[in-house]
Amino acid sequence: MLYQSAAQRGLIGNGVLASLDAGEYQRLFHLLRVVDLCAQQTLYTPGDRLQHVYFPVGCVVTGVAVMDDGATVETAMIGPEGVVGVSAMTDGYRVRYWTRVLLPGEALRVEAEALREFCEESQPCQTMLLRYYSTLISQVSRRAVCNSRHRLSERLCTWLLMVHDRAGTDDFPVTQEAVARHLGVRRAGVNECVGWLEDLKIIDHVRGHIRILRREALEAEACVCYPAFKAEARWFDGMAAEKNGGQDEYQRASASRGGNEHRSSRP
Amino acid sequence: MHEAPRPSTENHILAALPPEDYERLASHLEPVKLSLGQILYEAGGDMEYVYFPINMMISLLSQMTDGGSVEVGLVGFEGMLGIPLVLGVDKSPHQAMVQIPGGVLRMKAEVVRREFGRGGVLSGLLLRFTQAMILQISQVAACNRVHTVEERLARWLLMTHDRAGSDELELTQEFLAMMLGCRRAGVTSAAITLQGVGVIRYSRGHITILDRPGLEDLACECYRIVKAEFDRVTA
Repeated sequence: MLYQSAAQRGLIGNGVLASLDAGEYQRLFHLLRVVDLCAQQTLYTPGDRLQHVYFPVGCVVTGVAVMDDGATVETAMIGPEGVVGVSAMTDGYRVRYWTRVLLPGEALRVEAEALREFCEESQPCQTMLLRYYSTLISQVSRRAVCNSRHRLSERLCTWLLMVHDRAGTDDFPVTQEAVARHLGVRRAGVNECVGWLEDLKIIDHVRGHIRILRREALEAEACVCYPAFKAEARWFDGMAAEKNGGQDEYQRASASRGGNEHRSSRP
Repeated sequence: MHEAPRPSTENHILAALPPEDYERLASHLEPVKLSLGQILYEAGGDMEYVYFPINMMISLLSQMTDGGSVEVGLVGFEGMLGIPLVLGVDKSPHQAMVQIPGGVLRMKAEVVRREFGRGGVLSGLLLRFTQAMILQISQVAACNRVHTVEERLARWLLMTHDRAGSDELELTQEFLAMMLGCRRAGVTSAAITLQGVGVIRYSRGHITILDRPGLEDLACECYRIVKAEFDRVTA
């Protein structure tokens, strides 16, 4: 019963699952398992065969590029709006990125093989995963610009907002070392920027926790990339609108055919 | 029984198709010559065709609100331009510009969508290519952050050299700055450094690759990582 209720929360708690219609979700539901992901947990290491796919519900996961000299830069952030391991759509795919949990929490996990088989039968599920894939391409592309062109202070604000959008709370456990690793910069630079945001009373940073105090002010300090990142984190809103649009079209079509179906109007 | 001539063998995706799949698509492939700087897609614009490059190269550019652009990826004979179409998206997330002029085979968007929908060899190849593109884009995004302009210029010249099929590259400073996401002055000084060690010759937008192994030694590991992934697409 507990299992059921946690997974049912997934229906509304994960953007991809929420974009599936109830029938598809019910069929997929039997393949999903609720798992708790811990902070810093490594989900994939480069070269791994991809075994599980995760639909985050209460956690945030990141893809990180690791260079030969040990330098690290985050390349993707995936929270309750997305899927971790969407590459499982391709048979025999081996992982290319370090994929680690940034903020701990619940996710719904499915065997990669089972999801692939499911997608072969379920066009809507495949469509949704591919759509999310394109959203991920947009996020990653924007980082190429942001990383090379924007100041650290702006990038830090953007990154904090991206985490905030996915965390669902104002307070999250992130150390300055972690921020530096994700942004691909030295800790001293992060320290300076965090101090500046604290002085402005925009954030508070105590013992490895960051608390967002004034979100609007943080948005004002973020780089121009943020609105696009934000829109991408809400990509499924567009899907829902599209679905509704499709239904309207269907209604119009049936009306023009003189159909006498009775449908309740949308709220 | 003769197979239809396959001018496409120089495009790796088309070359990897079994004869019956290729036959089905052959009549939809239209050879076109594209010129330097030609815009194939605008960011946010429609994608009427997909393009299979043969001996040319296309840059994917992300535009900034201040008017500048940064290259996020490039496509040559190893792939196809127009991946968002098979992912179900109608608008291009990037501007696509011809960086090295030459020949492509183009195909109507609906044809590639229909073929992708069949779930055959082409759809598997395009999914693998999509993964390689994401790796390229994220590796370049990370590279722009942590590697020096010299390393990035060497990496970019190698990626371009692979696709150009020539040691002579026509590239302006503005172009290079856009490609590397840095200032013009930074590109000039990096090019002078590479010329100083004898791996390239650089004069007014004309670059000659003189010592490719030497260039490989100077490039960051991002070149090798991305190349290996593209090689796996059709392996």
